[in-house]
Amino acid sequence: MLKNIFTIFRKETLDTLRDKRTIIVMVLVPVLVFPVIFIATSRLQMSVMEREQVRSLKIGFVSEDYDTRLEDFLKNQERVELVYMEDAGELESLIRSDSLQYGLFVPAGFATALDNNEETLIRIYFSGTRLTGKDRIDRILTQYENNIVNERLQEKELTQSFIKPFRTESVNIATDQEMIGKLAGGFLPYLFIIFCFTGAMYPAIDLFTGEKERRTMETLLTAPVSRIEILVGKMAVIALTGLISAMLAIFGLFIGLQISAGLPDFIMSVVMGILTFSFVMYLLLMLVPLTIFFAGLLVPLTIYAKTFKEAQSIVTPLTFLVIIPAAIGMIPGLEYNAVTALIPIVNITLATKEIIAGTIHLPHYLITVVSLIGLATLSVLFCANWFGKESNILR
Amino acid sequence: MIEVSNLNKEFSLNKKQRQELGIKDKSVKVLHDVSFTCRPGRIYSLLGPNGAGKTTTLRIIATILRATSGTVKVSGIDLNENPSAARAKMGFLTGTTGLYERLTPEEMINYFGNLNNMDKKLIEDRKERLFTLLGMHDFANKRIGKLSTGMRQKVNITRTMIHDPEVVVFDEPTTGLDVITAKNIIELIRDCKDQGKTVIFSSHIMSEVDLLCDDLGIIHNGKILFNDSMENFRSQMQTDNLTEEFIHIVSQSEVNV
Repeated sequence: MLKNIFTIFRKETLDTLRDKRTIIVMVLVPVLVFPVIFIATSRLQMSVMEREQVRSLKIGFVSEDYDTRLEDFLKNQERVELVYMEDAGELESLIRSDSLQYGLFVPAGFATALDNNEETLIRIYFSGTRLTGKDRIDRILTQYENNIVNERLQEKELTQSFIKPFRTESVNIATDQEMIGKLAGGFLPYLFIIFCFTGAMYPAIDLFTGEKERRTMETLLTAPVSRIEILVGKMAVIALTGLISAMLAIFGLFIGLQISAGLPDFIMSVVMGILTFSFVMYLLLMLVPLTIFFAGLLVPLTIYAKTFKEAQSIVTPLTFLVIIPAAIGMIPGLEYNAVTALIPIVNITLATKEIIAGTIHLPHYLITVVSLIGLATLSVLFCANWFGKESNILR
Repeated sequence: MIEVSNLNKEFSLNKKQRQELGIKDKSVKVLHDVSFTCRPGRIYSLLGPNGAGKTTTLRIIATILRATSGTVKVSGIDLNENPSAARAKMGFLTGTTGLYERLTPEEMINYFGNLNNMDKKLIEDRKERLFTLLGMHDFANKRIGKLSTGMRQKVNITRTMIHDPEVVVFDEPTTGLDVITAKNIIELIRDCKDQGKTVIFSSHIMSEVDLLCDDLGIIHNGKILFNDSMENFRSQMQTDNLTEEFIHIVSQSEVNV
């Protein structure tokens, strides 16, 4: 029996590796997608930041006040250009047309109010659609505000503690690894669940529907092998491609993080520290039954479909069935406990977060692994029953 | 030897199929007590119009379909008891059989040799003999997807014969093939007979049947209307030629219904 399964497995692997479509979905996309996204976004981010830093700020300035202290302060700022205007309405149209970055409206009596220690206001005009928002103008005005507060404190002979009676000191008891694991760790399993499924999808369609469509299924059925041997040989290839695709996606993610710039060092050191032997083993113990389960989901549908096109239209919506529980597992605050450890796919996302954070509770993890193995077994048995029915194979 | 006894086959129909066929029954019976015997060294031809039940009968013999009732024995092996052992003694070829386009003929033949539990040396020997016989060495390592129809059919013949089966089942083997390729198939069927193999082939082409067969089964609406030697068929003819006689038998059965 094993010899026949291996013969089928070897042939299907060779056949799959020669299918360009599968290679693109299984290897190229998972390996390249993250490096490409990370390089592109970090380059874009850096170029925007660099441009913003050297770009001089054009501020439309409308003042109804006689005092020029604020105006002088603004003029003394580096890379700030004031554009004087008569009317506040004009500011809006110029900001909208991108001729100005910000607009400032200073009402009459502004300086007098400041001198009398009364509250007053400055109106800032900006466009919320810009990447930089109103950060730069806020920084400049905060600086001006601090200057005024300091002058007032000096005048009254008071220290900073008068307006800031105490300071806080935060002690974060979570390690960097725990924080990254709990907050961002859900992304990693989400990623490999998606790639595991999409990686298995094309081989499943090709090995069952494709074989029906190309009229080779009948030939195979007349060979002296049992249907269960054919099924297991083919399912093993489907599960393997899903697994390889998921592992390559993780590999691509790490490569992408390493070659992209902009992430703080502590995040990088934690992320790179994740890739340990035990992490990979923990992951594989869940991923192997998961890919078999995915194969078990895909195979009955691809056996049933008559054509490649029909199979694609049946199987593609199934992606949402996989994405939704994977995304649910990413919800912050959702605990990994004896109940959630049993929910397929959600349990993998939650368990991986705990593994990355280093806080995995072993009994819960075992519940997850055993439930996944059970699910994979059930799916194989269902497939065997489905594949045994001539009405499905020869539909 | 192939022994077919009281073979019945029913296909269950879903709602859509019932609507398409315009019938109310939840199943349709396509074979009714079909019985015949194919002997070694003789060619048995199953002749019938389209939809008569030829392909269903041959698919049951090839174990692709399961009979609802009745028995089929291939070289003494009951298909219901040990289908795998029966398949090991059988070769199956149709005019529309597909091939693995991304494999080479060499790889495909090795694959089926392995599935037939042949050892490496035996596969090499048989492959070498068949490749030489059919002139396949020039394209043995090219991807099947790039081969012509004639070359593909040679690959299919080699695939069918690699394990030297005792019984060979041909289901409308010349359908869709050009004259030269069809001739190769006819020669293959003759060779099988000369080698003492049991051969069954289905066809709706009377000239092919006339040319090849020793025994004849005429099937229509899932029932065997005639089952005897070709010699006896000729001697009992009530019309001038074989085609006329075939049409006469088929139309007579419809009158009787």
